[in-house]
Amino acid sequence: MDQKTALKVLLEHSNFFSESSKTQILSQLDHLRDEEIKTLGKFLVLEKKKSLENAKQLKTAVESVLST
Amino acid sequence: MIFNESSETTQDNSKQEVKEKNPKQDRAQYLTSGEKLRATLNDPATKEAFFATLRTLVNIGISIIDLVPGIGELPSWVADAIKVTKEAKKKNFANRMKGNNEKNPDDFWQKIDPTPDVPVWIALGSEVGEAVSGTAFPSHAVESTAQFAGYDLGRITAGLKRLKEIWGEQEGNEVIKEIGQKANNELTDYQNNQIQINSAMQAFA
Repeated sequence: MDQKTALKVLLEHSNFFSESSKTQILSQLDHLRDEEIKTLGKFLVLEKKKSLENAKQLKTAVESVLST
Repeated sequence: MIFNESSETTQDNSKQEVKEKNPKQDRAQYLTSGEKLRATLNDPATKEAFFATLRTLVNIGISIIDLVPGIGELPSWVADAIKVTKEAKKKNFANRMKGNNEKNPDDFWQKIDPTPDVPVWIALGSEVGEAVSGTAFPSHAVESTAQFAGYDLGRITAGLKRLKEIWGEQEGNEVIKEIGQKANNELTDYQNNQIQINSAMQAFA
């Protein structure tokens, strides 16, 4: 998968950016330098990894608190 | 006369502080959202857990504000909390720009900075378009500076338990269920799109 397509996929599944921010980024995608695409992409990869880790912890914590 | 009025006011304030520090289950429903938040923050034993939980919620997505429908008073303070965390990001960013990188454990704003080392343009998501098109776009590697804080399960659980105590059994459980649903949505979305998301992540490995 090329990095532009990958960035679109990661933006679609990002919780961090608002929908308007996503739209703004996508509208400028063709004007971004490779370095900028890589920077955003690496950030979104990090966000997804940490978001999944946090979601697992939150889910476990919620189940624990609701069961007591 | 003035002294008496002042004295009564002081006593009233004192009573109010005691009430907010020790919210009882049977009166939790009578607290306003602001009082509930203050009660949480006034409790030294749980303040840290609350901050950890709040930052985790913020880290899992600013869009947690989407929880608005059907959960009573939560939206107003979540919205406020997000505004506050954004303000914290601005203040801490400004401090770092002045060359002041010292961590002060007593600094209120540093405590609620959701992602202390994430560039400010990321925290202020709505302004990212401007940042991307301007000269402020960071060219340095994000992975070396971005920090999505992870918190241990014990602290998150303690924070949720305290949230339930302060918000009351019924409303607290509803809030916690909504939080759980949000976390579950994230995990389900990943499971349903795992191949595509993994390929996208691999492109930036």
